[in-house]
Amino acid sequence: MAWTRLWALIVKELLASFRDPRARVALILPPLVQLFLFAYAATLEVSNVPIGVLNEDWGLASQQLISRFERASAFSEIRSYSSLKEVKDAVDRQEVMVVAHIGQDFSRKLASGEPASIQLLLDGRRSNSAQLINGYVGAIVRQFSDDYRLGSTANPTSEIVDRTWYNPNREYRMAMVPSLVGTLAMATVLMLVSMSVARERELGTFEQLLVSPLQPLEIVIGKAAPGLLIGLGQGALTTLIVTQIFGIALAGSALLLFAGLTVFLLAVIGVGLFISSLVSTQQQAMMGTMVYMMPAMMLSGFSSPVQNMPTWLQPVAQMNPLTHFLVIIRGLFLRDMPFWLVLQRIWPMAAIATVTLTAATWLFRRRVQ
Amino acid sequence: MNVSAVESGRWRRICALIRAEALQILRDPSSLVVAFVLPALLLFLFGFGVSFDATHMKIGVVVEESTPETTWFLASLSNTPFFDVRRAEYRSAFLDDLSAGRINGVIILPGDFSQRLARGDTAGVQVITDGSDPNTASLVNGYVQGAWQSWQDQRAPDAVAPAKGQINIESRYWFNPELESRRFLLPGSIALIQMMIGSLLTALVVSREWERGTIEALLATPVGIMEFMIGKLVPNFVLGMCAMVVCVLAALFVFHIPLRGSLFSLFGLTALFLMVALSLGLLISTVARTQFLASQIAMLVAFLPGLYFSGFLFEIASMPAPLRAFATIVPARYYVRALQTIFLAGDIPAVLVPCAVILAFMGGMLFLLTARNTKQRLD
Repeated sequence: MAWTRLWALIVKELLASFRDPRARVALILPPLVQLFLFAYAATLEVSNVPIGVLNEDWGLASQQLISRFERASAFSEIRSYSSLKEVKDAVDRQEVMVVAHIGQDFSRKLASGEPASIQLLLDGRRSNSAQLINGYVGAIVRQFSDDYRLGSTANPTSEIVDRTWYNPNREYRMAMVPSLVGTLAMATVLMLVSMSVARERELGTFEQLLVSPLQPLEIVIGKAAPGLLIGLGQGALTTLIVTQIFGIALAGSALLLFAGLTVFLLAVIGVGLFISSLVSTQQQAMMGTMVYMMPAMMLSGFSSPVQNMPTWLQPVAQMNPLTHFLVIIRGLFLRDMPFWLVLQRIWPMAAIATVTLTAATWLFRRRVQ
Repeated sequence: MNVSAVESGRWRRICALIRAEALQILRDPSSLVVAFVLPALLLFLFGFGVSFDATHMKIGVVVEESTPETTWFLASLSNTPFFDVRRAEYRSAFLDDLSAGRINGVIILPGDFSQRLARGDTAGVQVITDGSDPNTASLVNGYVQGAWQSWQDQRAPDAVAPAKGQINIESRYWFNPELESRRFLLPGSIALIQMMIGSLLTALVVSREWERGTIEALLATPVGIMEFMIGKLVPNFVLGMCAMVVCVLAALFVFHIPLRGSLFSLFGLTALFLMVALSLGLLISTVARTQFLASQIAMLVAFLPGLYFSGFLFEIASMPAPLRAFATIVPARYYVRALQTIFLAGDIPAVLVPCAVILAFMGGMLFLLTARNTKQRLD
């Protein structure tokens, strides 16, 4: 009997979520748009930017160096300036992010075997990009000086051989896109679940639900189950798109990924139900969702690593289920993380899920009585 | 009725509308949350939670055979404040850590490292970085390179003449010599906050009127379209400006971001941008008419482009051409540019004037479009 009731409620909830065609679009479209935006727009790499040159040297060496800048794929064009004043104006106006200043004695010093020098002027308004460009220019100059030296001295005493594992070209997309399996599912489920009770309150159907034979716990389960189903479905769809369309292979086990997703979604549903029991209108539910989502996204290692945060903030990140799930996603997609290491990340999520679900049920009962 | 009477009636109506709207904002705690709590929270998150400055990179060093040479090399690594170095004798010791994402990279000094150095052969140092975080991987690489360079410099006595063809690079970062990512992320996040408050709040408020049907009642009164729009915009504008004051105070006194430009240009551009954001919110509400849909659309057309295409986090120049073209019509892009310049560089008219003109144009267009749309919706 309890099962029939529960089943009926779950079906009703699923129907309610998908009944309104516009709401249906609102559930499906934003995740898809985000997925494609993320794949193509979310990049910290710098390419296709102009580089400025202020060349006061008349020698051949500086010309050769500049032509190397021209050929580098990171730079779209060379802009020549003739005075420091012009350079300053150009950087101020954000025409160029970097200007290489080659002094008068560059070629002479190079030819006579003295150390020559170049000054790089970078726009620190975007310091991360500027640092990357600094790295590119550095590599070009090093290569140039190695070639210049070629054959003149014996082999170097030491060298660095560097390898990047899991993502050999350090492609930003490979690292970022898989994490959407977690964040998109979180956004959808949180929105759905937090709205579900609030909508009933707003429409006045909540009282009807309460006078039905359903127990408070059954109502909670009935509200939670559709969220879990839709979240898992969306997770599966996102995983398919990521692997099939974006060609990012899932190196680890899919089963483990979905085990992680299930536990993660349970934790998120707990939060959603908590918000839903707390608020009385859909607008407030929306605000509650946003107020939770923002920190959850920012303090998860999604956009920048947890280890860069101040030490006092890192324990907060550990209480965030998304932090753990992102480690699992990145581990399984790129690194083939072994089972027991995944388990080490699943149990904290399970603990968080227990806390959030218990709190949500407690609050729900209190609000009903 | 003479002209001045018409005028005064209009003003009275607008004032009444503004008062009604302001009262509604003050009564509903969720609007105040949006105006004060959300900006503070977001600023806090961007200020502390998002940082590209890796200062504690966890590195595993494999020393297959310990000799004075390797100890020396290790010392030069530990001297860098950025590394958190752990040692082991076998490569396998760090495999799990790398796989679990617990360390950012492994440096391997092979068994023949010292032998080769003594013999004059090239002694290789292997560096393995975790590519699942490309930004940190690049930083690890850069810093290892630096530590390696200083180790080499110390090893080679000064007596030896510098190698032919040596080129030193001297890098100068203008406006942000400390290279704190926070200094450019925070002004950018202010743009995001303004976009959210402006468009999301307006979209929600007006679509609520559609949803409850109170808008029909309102439009049955002598209130004109323009009066209605102004009545909705002014209180939210004030709310946005209050949020801006919160943001600027926090940026200056909590996060110690310098303000090199003037308050006049800062608030002037903010006013222009708020006009754009508010008009966009109004336009959304006339299309959506339900709160749920309005918030979804606001996220889709206001918040996401502001996040991705404003150039505050991601690099527009590196995007494919169609997306670059799209980025030119994203208002937040011009505001972010202006904010970063005002905070870090100062009042540079060559940047600020074009941004202001474009924002004013966008605001005007959106306002007219909304006026037209509202009229059509009623017929």
